[in-house]
Amino acid sequence: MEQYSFQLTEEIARWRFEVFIKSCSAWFIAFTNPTAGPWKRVMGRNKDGVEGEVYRFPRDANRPDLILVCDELKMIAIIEAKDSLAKLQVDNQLSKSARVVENLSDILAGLGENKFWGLRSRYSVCAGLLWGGETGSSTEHREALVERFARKMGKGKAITIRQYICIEVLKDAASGELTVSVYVPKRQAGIRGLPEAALLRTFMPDR
Amino acid sequence: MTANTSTYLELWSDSFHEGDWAVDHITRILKTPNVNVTMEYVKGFIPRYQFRGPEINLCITVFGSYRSWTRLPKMISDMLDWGKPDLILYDPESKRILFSVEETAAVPTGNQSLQRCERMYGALRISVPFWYLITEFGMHVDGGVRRDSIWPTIMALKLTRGKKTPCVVLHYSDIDNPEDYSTGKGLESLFNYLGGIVANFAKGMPVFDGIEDPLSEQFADMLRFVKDQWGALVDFLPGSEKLDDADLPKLYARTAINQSLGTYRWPVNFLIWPQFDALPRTVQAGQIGKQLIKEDPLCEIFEKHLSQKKAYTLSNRTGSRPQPGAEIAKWITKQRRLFNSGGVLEPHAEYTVKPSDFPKSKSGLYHVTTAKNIVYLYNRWGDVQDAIESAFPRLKRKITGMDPAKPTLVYISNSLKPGRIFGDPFTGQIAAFATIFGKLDPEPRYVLAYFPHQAYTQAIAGEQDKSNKGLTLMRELTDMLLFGGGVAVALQSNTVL
Repeated sequence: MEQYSFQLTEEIARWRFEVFIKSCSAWFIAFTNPTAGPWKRVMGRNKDGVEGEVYRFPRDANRPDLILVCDELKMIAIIEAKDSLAKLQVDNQLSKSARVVENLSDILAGLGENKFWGLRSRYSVCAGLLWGGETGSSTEHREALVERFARKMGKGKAITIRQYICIEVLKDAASGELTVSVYVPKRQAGIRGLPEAALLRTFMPDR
Repeated sequence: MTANTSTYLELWSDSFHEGDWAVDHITRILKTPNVNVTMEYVKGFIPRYQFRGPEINLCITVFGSYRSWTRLPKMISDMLDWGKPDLILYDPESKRILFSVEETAAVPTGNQSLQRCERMYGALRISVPFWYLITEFGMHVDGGVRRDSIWPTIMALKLTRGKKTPCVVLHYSDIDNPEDYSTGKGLESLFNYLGGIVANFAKGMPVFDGIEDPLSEQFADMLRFVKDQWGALVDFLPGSEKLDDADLPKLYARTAINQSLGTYRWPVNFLIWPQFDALPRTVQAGQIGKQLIKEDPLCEIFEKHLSQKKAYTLSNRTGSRPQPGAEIAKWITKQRRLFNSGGVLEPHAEYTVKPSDFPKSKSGLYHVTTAKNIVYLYNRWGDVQDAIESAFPRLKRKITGMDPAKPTLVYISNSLKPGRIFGDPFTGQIAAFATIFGKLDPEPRYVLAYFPHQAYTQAIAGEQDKSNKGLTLMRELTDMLLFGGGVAVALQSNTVL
């Protein structure tokens, strides 16, 4: 095989995490935001595991980068992705991401009648931030980022976000291997979510 | 026992999702009880599929997100200059592209319908087989269901014949299930065919071996679609009475894969738009100039020329999409700044567009549309040049070297937003119209693109790199660009008149 080198773009970071999620049976991907194709719809599953359309974004609507569902925890994760932590730290970006999470939470909460969504309309919402990099972030950086993100919430719809996660996709400079780490921040603007261990357990790849 | 020699293919794609989705479909074709398929993620994220069986030992690696990769294969890099197709299957050993695919969930209405046609041209110009998978029925923003335009399909038919390479438009969905990939036969047909090409390659056979019949079926579907739909869009289609000719699909298929045509013969002048006098009488009679929505000196003459039978247009069914006044004022300011950055021209030229030129619509927004027509087919370039010189006297005696007797396509984009004409959907429109109306015909037409509201400086390659897909395309497919203030640019020679 030809040896090609790559830059860790947002697309690649997000895709790497999706590959990771496919190995975690507790979660399924309800929506991902690549540039095109038949993936522009939020998809759910009925009780028999059959997939079906839940929601279609209007053409000019702001979309999240990923929506994940965990039936075991009764949780939906709405995730914003960037190719670097620095890009997520921009104030406008955090505000925009917060609005997307709030608006979408509101929409998904109203889909109780959809046969592929149903009771998931009552699930709690976890807001996630995903980034790529070549050096790992510090706990302080992540805590500060999530605290700022949490402060942006609640200025739009009356949805309470109780849980946050951070996903870091790291590129090994020598081998180009990409690894995924999921973090649950300790401080979440005073709101306590699930115990860290309970949440992290669902992000363990199946063996 | 399995085939000993391993063959390698790379599937390059706009996103990993699309690449992986495509290989998944191809796998369904290749997988048999005797063929074992495995998949691994190289470096944790690059999907690599291995097919092993009695006649197959094939590895396909998926590379998503073209621009994330450095040192792209040159043939792929060159093709991307013309726009990014969603999928490109590449043989790294022969450095050859086996096929490329564009697939879209976008609603094929209005301007959108020709968006991406530049990718079709970009592939066919270097003889790369191209498949375009598009929804036949789409939900418009007004909630109504619309059917795809005929132009991408006609463009594909003309490119297939002109370049002797497959260029196929496949439709999915139906009227009750708009935009649904799983409805209609387009998706299945696409991957049955592409799977066949991959299987041939893996077995060391000519890639088009056994392909003629399924390819004929795809062309038959395209011709049926045009037959059903052309009357809803245009007043006249050359050769419409031959669309259900039983030989036509075979003719296209054999031409596409360079097989002998045998006893098959092309219908005379099929899909070749004629001179005015060869139009049906009723269509000739309908060519009457109309009042413009927004005034423009050159478009006014074009409309008069319709009444004078010097040119004809395709239909009168296009509309206007008014814009907010504040945006118009902002865009004009930017256009004027761009225009003035070009310095002094001889004879003097000025960007005279102003907000008050744009009439208010019923909704309170402002019309930017000049003539409702965006395509005029002229019998003679001489009449076009007369119109240009009359509307913009500064160009008198400046346009030289053109053959006055040559037929000409005039394309108009009324877009006002700076830079817009070099992006979607206008590059797709120019690629489609230039291909459909003459660049590949036995008697080719000149192509003039007129942008009444745009500043010419955007088309000049200066010190800074202004290469983009729009300019790349216009350089090859147009003979002259004409901008606001009556400034002409010939991109081939980078000359400003």
